[in-house]
Amino acid sequence: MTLLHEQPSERYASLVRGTAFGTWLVKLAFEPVQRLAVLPDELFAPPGPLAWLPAATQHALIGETSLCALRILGALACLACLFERGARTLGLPAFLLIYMHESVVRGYGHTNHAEIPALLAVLICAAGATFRVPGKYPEPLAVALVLLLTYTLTAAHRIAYGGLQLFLSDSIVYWSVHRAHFVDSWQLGLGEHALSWPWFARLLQVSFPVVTLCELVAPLALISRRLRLVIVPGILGFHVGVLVIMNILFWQNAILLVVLFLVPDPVALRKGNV
Amino acid sequence: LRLVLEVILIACVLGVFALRASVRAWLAATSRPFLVVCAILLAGLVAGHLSRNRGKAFPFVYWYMYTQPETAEVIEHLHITAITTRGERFELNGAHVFPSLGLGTFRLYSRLLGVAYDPLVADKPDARALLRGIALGYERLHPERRLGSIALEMVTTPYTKARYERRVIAAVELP
Repeated sequence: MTLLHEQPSERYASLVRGTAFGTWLVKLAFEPVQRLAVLPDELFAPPGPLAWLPAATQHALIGETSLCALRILGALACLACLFERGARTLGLPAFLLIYMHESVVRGYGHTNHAEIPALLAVLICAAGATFRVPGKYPEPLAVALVLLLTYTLTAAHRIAYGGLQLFLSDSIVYWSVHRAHFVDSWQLGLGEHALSWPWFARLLQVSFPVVTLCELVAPLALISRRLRLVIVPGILGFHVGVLVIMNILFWQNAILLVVLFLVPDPVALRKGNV
Repeated sequence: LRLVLEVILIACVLGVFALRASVRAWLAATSRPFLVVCAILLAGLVAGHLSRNRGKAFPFVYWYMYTQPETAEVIEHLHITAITTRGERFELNGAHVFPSLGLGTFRLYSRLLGVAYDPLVADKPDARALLRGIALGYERLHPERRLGSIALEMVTTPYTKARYERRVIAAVELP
């Protein structure tokens, strides 16, 4: 068994760093976070360190100008971090700006789990560039491990607390139908048909435990090529599935998975480790 | 017991991973400060999850998704309905007004569900304030379509896919 991304090339590590910062660059450039300024201040409940700030500071932070500034500075920092030298000097500030952006958005809604591995990937790439040992590029493996661990945590909790009862019930059909009914960004909503297509409901019920098992052992995809052939399609299939069925898209996770598992590293290819 | 089972499952997966000789070789070859950062992140993820942290230690949060068995005879979901000053009635897609909250996520509806189901606040002032904000956001995007009113409706659909019913949770007449 060989370890995936054990000794990645500089070019591949640059690709992973570019993906980590690039997804946030796209998000900050195209998502108009400043529109949140029209929402009532009293509904703003920021998480973690942002909640410790005085109310006046919090209020100033969620103004339209501040959010615009946060967006522009964050995007510029991410742009600089696409390059090794930029990541070394601006990696931490970029992470802090993205963290602040995410805290503001989180303050108006619930945790968006899809964005957390991408957020941590930025910090890992910044640390990798800052503490670089010449010729060593440990970021791809560390990003992959953090990303895959989040699937393990989700699956372990589901198995321990949902138990057999969860997988034998038709809860997954209920969730699929329920989520498909909401008017949301994506209007694919295939889940609505789970009530009228019995084969589709059966497919959902069968795939639920299979995907959960893939999620549970996800980090082992890094050490076993055979498991990788099952786990990666299982998890990517799950992401496509929840998009077309429930209108939920973990796009940052999906992009990281594609880059980390489907884009070959030329050095690893030569060693036969892909 | 469930927590113990959860910890065992996580420990087994991480243990199998960490005990590989290739992983230990990678650890030995990697710079210490970088490993410290990674160790903090991994420990934070596991600790934040096991402590069921929902926000205090963000981004180290509770990873709960589709965990509790759930079935019902009816499906309840929220719709935002708006009526323009010209009398046109339409479903307002909040995710399009606030992509930061809605792009492929459940954020806006989670907040709406929170205010809609809050049993302590019968007249839903938070829901009305949120609706006013959504209306303002919409009018800024579509200045040609002024809104006369906006309402948050609970749509109840029997699980057998029969007719649905609508119930207004909160409504706001706009100036």
